[in-house]
Amino acid sequence: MNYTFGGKTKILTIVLMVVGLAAIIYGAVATPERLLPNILLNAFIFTAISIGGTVFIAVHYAGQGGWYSAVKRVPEAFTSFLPFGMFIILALIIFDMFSGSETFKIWEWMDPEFQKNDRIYKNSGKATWLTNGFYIGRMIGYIAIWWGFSYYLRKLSRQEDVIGGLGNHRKSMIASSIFLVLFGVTSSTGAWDWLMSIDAHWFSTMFGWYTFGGLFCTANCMIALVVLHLKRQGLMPWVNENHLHDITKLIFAFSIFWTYVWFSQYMLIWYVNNPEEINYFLERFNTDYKYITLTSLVLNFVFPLIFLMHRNAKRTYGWITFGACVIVFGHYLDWFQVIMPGTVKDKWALGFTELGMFAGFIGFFLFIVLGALSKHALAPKNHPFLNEAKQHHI
Amino acid sequence: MSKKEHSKTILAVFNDPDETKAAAQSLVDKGIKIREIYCPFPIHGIDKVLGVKATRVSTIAFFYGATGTFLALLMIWYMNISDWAMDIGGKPAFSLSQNLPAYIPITFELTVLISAHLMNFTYLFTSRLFPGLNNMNPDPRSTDDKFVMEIVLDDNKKVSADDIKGMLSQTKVAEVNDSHLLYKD
Repeated sequence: MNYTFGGKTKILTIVLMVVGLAAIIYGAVATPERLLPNILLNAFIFTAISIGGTVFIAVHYAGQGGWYSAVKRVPEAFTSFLPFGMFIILALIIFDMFSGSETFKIWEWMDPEFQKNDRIYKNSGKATWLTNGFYIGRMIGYIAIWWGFSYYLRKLSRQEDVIGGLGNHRKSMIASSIFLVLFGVTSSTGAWDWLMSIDAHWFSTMFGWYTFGGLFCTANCMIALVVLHLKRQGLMPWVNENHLHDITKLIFAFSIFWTYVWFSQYMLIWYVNNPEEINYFLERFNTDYKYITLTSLVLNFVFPLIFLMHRNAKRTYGWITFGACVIVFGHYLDWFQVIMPGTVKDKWALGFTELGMFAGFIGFFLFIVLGALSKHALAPKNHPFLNEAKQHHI
Repeated sequence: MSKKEHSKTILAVFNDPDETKAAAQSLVDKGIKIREIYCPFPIHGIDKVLGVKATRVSTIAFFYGATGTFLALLMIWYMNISDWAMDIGGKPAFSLSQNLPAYIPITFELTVLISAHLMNFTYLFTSRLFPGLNNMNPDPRSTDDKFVMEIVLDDNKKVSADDIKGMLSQTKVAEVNDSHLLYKD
């Protein structure tokens, strides 16, 4: 059974992409200082969702999960967006590092003047980590590891349809285990590099897990949304409310996990009240950013806690669709308040530049992902757990 | 039923969880009431077949948790605010709300502790389990590798014991034994 990407869905994604392009042009002309941080924000979110797809597959391979094989072609298709997202981030890094532009910039520490004169940067050990060559080298490492493993896992899965047997499953298990170890490190360092180093004087040891919690939660929301889109087309009849119940359980669990890490980070910094660290939260609670920060807390914790708690809530398609959309927007706001206070500072707004670009990237992501999804069968053919997945019942 | 004599039962012994479930379904479809199925591990979906009511322990858990939250905040308020205000890290000493982030971990732990313990006691109480209880399992093999279905004859007065045995013989039953309840009904 194949998915055909066309008709209204294709037109919608193209319209969204046109809106996004208009937002980029509008942003470059009318609000230049908000342009690059917003591209980073969106590129990061959709890179996170893509790699979240690979993590979803790898976790279930390593843990011998069964039910996920019913939907595994969807997170596999997510990874086709990964190179786009990561190369946009790489382009932003190279531009910021070498253009020396005063208007279009994101990372404060990339300024040569900053590297020469800033005492905290020089004396705190950050000067060894945040250097231009090492930074770009790490970025290339992330691309190699993330894209390489995503590509390899996807290839093994598609090959399995043709050759059958258990060989590819074993290879996938080994590759997944190695990937998860490497991802445990690179997801933290990636979060430090792209997001935490925006506030170059600040650091938090919780930041990697904080980003990972949001990343995996958002990825699961997107998986649920795309699976429900396919079900609305009358495809994937083998996927029923039991599978969606499990995906929504992951959304619920990682919403709580995200809150746990958010609060752990906040509470320690609030309690110690160290000037080096508390600045991060002063910027987010004593300025107008507090509306964004508090809204993101409500949407990412209070909302899923109440809305997705009940068993029936996790099994009703319309309910999941609404919940997943709200949580994705909640994490957009969360990463918005991570990136913006250090880059655009008090000149921020949530206007056409921001929301138009977000819509554009949604269109871009769906255009690539749904296109990739339509090229292959929606059900893996020879996956050893396929029968278990089809009889999944909770 | 006389109070001295325990009710007569039929014990149907099965070797396989799926066969037990299928047999239970076929008996329930024919209007037989099954009192209990003893099995070494939970059989997925058997509660729906037997028509066991959904547990309400999750609802009561919410109230236990709320009790825990309240007690934790009351304890912290009494200890750290009311009775002996502490100056820790220069935080406002006489305010619960302004110090709340610091109290969240303890509140969380006590919420979990109290709700878990009370749920546990509730479970033991509603299952009538207590120390020194006699074994109520009619066939000890059900703790090893057999699945034992207990049908109480008094529950099924419209059909005779032979009819029930006839129905059981159509399923993949391993043995059918006559027995009686080990406890007073």
